[in-house]
Amino acid sequence: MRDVFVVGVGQSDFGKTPDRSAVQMGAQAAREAIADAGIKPTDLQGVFSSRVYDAMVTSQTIMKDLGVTRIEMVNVENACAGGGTAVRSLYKDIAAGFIDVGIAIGVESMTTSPIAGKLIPPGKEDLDGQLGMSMPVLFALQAQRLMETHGATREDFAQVSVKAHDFGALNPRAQYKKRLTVEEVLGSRMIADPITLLQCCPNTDGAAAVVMASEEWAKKYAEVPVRIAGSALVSGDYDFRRDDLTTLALGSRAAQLAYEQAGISPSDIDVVELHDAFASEEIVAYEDLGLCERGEGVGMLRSGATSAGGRVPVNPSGGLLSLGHPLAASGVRVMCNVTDQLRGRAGAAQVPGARVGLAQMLGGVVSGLDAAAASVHVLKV
Amino acid sequence: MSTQTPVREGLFTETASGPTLLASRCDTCGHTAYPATARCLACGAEDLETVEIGDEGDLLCASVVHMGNGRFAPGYVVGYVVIDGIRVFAQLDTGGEEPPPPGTSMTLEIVPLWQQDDTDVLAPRFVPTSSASRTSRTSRKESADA
Repeated sequence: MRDVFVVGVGQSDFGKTPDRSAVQMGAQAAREAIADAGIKPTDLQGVFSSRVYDAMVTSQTIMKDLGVTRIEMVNVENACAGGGTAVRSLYKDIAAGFIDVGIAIGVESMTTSPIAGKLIPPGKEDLDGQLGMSMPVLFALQAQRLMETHGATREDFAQVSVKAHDFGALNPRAQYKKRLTVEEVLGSRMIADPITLLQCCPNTDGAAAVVMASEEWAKKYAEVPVRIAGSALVSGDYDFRRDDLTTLALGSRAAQLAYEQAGISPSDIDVVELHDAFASEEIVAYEDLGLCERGEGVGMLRSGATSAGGRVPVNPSGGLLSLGHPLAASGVRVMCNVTDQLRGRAGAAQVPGARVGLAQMLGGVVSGLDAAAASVHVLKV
Repeated sequence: MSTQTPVREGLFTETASGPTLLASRCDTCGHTAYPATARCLACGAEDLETVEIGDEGDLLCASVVHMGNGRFAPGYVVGYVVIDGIRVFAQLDTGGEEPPPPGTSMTLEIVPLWQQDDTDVLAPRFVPTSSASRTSRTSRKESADA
């Protein structure tokens, strides 16, 4: 297997913009990533795009406006982990030597999708979904267990959102650039007890893209090549194998695989971008990623270790809570943010001296499984 | 008179002593699954029997859902009830009160949870055992049969 590097990143603005098509946003992100890499669009040898809603052949539709045709292009779907899946798929093609340089794109226009303004609907085969389960309900029940077994409080959950918005206020591309107080978060409309509205990520339109390349290309084009030291994508397991609702075991397994490949331990990580669709799940992710011991997630949040200036800032981009969540774009967007951190280009949210970063994404609810998919990438300079 | 249909076949049944959930139990490894599966999820064996896992369990956690979803009006209560070691997701009838604490004993009832094309869809729901009574559950059953 060959080393693979991120050589260029790009992103559209995130927000509710029904006047921008998914393809326009994807092309904006792709153009930016290609320009950032310093290559020509026609240098690309492979394209992986991810999108949950709602059209076919997204890669080809985006790339034709950039003058890229004929080459192998693939369109992947893995719910919210789709973007991470596109990255992983491109990684494998370059690592295996099939191609030297390619692009992974995630794009979503939620406001023009069939579920605009609604919850993600349950499938007909999804018994729990038929009976009233949904994403906020799933995480609310997990949060209830965190309160019971971890001593988490409503204020702790609100603090995750406050932290995200503190960071988001520094990100010109965030959907919400406004700081919040714990009182404001707790005072917002209750969605599913204990989760209030301001602890839920907004549905958002947006796109992100990363250009990845072999070492030879990276040396030629990238000022600061960022190596993908670990890459993992795993699927959920039967929920009866999970003793405890306060873990998503697939996230933990993805992290272990990525750490093993990278030859690092979680304590080596300087900065993390992760799936915080609901505030309380960030505390679970601290433990699943091994950033702290089991049962210590609440303490880690309270210590400030994951806030600005802390030992390992989590979601300095503002996260899904503040940036918004264009489903399939988020898994690519976290790669862009971590890359920017390692290149020292993260502006006001820069983690000083960051050299090792982690990008995680989770996706999908299936009755009987802990979740559908989890991707983890470890990046190093 | 409206007709009735279960949300899914094989989830529950009525016995002389009340309703019970139905699970599959593996002849080889003993793994019990709800909802029942055709193949054992633990060991892969295909010889499974249908077993009744009863109508009582302990509440693991609950949440009041304050947003409607088109089928259920805001304010519905959901939770996980552990029966025979299995986490069962279902709605809870807490009589408009806050959900009871974890560990509370819960009893199964089979109720029309929503309507679809003039048909009542029957589904499992749990009620705190302290406020459940055979009489009320039986009368529900009888009215359901009427």
